[in-house]
Amino acid sequence: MASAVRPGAGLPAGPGPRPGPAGRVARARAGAAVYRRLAAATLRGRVRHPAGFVLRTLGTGLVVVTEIVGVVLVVEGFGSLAGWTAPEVVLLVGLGAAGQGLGLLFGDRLEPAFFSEVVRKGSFDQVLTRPTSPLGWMVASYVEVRFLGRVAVGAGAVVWAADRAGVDWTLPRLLVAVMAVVCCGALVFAISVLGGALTFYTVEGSEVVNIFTYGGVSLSCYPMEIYGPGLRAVFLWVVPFALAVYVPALVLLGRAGPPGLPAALAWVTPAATALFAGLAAAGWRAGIRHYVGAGS
Amino acid sequence: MIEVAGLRKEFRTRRGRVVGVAGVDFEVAAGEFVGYAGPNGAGKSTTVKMMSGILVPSAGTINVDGLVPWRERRRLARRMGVVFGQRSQLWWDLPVRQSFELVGHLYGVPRAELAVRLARLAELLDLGPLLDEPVRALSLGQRMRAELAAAVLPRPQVLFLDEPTIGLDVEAKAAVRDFLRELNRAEGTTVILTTHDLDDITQLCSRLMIIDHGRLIYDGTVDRLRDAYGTTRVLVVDLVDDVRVELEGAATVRAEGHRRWLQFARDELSAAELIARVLDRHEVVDLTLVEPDIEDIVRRIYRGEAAPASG
Amino acid sequence: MAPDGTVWDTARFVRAYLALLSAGFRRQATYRLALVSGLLTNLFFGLVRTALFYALYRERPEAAVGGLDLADALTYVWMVQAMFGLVWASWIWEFPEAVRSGDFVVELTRPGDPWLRQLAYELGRTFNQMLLRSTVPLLGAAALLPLALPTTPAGVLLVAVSMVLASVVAFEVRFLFGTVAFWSSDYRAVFNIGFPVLWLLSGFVIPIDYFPAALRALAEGSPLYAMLMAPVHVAVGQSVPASLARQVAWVVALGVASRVTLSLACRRLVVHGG
Repeated sequence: MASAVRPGAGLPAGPGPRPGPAGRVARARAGAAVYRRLAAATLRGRVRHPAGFVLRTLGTGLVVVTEIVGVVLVVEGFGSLAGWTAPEVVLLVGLGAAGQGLGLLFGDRLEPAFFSEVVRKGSFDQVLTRPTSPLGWMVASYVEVRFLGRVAVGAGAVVWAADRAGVDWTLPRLLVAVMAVVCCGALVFAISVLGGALTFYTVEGSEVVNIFTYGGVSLSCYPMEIYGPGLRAVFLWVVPFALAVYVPALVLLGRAGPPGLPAALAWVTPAATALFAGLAAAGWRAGIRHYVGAGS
Repeated sequence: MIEVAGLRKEFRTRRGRVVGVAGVDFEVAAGEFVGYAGPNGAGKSTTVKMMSGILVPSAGTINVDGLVPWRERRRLARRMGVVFGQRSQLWWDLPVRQSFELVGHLYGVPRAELAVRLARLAELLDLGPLLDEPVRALSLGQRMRAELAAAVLPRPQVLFLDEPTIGLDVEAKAAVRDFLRELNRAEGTTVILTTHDLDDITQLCSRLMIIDHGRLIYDGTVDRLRDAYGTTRVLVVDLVDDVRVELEGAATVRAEGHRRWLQFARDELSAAELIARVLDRHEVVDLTLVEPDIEDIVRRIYRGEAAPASG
Repeated sequence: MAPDGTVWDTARFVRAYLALLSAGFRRQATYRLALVSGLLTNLFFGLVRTALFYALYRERPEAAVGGLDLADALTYVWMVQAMFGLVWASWIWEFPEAVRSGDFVVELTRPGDPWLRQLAYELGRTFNQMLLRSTVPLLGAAALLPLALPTTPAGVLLVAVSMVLASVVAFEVRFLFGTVAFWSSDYRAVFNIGFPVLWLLSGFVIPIDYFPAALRALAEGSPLYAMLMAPVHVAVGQSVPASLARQVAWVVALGVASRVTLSLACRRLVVHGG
């Protein structure tokens, strides 16, 4: 039987990377190339059915639109929310939605409902046998492009809301906005990774992470002032969504922010996000060790 | 019990019209155990779907127990049992016992009778330890036994089995076959069994119909078929040296490189004897025994090695 | 479902569907941890929304925006949490997936009514959800917050009835969406577009009472009203008879629509093959 694979197609040719420190860099580069190809293949598969793809992408964007409609109707109906006008609240919604879209773009398929099936069917064992990081493989194989709809609408909402709220777009403010979206996305992704890790221990119990991936962002749609000290503390110290969405919004709007949540905290956001991501990575590694050690 | 005349089914696909069944006629009497065999894609499942009422023929007539299946589907459903090999009738997340109870309710089986029937079926199919397991936890063989029990629980007059032994191991297949044999014998259930496993046929069916490319190419007893075709086997031998093999009772029907295909008659020469003879005369790297399969027989029928008429 | 040649056996008919109801109930009961995480999710979102409305009404304490005061708004929040698991059920993909994979054809080989069977089974699962996941958050909130729930037994009964009717309508809406799978294997794409609209119009985002007049009329005239806002209105005591009447009307109308759709789909399936 003739081979269906052309020699030279797919992975980069040549000898593999050597072991040792120099080899590690080469290995990482080779790994990145693999992920690129894998992600490209996934994307090609998705786009092959354009009608469904377009509908799905529109769908995730439409969800954000409905949320914004709801927010506007409610806040305008009352005039303001804790001193925030409707466009200002929409700014929060937009930042959160764009970030969430970015995070789910890469992390959606790590959610317990789907990932637990991958593990149960034994497909994850196959992933573990590959010479790449299992997380990288999972992410690259399951890029959920439809969430770009959410990112796009979220970004659009930020632009619209900023215009209505009179935000002065200086370069620092632009950077802060981008940082907000990226950090929020990183948080959502990190929570997804933790959810996946939890799946190694308990399938049904890991559903709770949805409270954070979806709930955390929902909570960030409204100014932090409305929440009691308990919720504020959780979303500042434990899962720092307040730093990723609310505080940057303070900076954009030129607001000082309440005591305990000043705009100056924006400097801390990247570090806090990195810390959380590091914890999530550690959790993932622990989960894999548990999975492999326990036999499957 | 079953009358089929001029049965025809065409499908419209992207590639145009595909004929699934191209004019089939047969009759099955009550209590018969009929095998309906053929290669993959020959039209077996299509015929069964039409007989069970879930597919409307393009042309022709079917009559099952006095009913026209697709027109009187629900009435027929009360008298028939169906097992589709790959599809499950049971409720996936519920314990097996509950599935049986639900089936009992759906078919109106009185509770007392259900208990007795279930006990009997559990005994015949060794379902005892499985009754409280959820269906999704069963292996394929276990599930198939449960499916059979569910299908015959309401004592159907006719039972359609579409590839029930596919994917089962030897032990599970034996269990299924024993059960079906007993069912047909004790309760007189008319059974239509589609399969492409020849052993299913030889062990269970008194009568066999072979379908290929939508047409019936054989309708007769299994014995006749066996006499005509099923008696030869092939021993595939990989030799060390590229030499001719000349042995009594075996004919070299094919040779490629160092490999020889030796055909021999099952009732004249046992495989063990032939292997002994081959090893005696030649140096052998490896050898395998090939049983005749339906594809093989169909090919031979088409090559005109016997008349494809009804028995 | 009259057996051949005999008188219609009502008792057996009812028993069969009751058995399915009970089976559905028992099945849902096995998902214990999912119940816990479901409750936690309800609790979380309920808290967030409660904080939102408290903040909104703090600005204008005497406001009755859209005809709802604070107590009504809080009742709305916790009724949404109570109804959530009944409308957006966790088993929502099972039916369309069974259709897509072809497993549904087994239903055609059985005697009886596939639609009624599906209804019985899903209602069983719904009742199980209602028992714990709906009542716990609602009663917990009622104990701690100033909700506008009815205090008379009759009032409570009406709310329960309204929730059951809403669940039946939700089943019918899910079923109709599910029948898309008979015609297109990419049914998820249709869901993805439809859900946000349903989400908003049914009142899951904000009460429809806050909608501008035209949008509110659209929402109230649609079957989605019967799924969520009707039980909310019954709970807060707004236009109770009209809401219940609307629910009953939609139960019937959508029941007919979904049965007709199923019948058409089966006819197509049976002629063209699965």
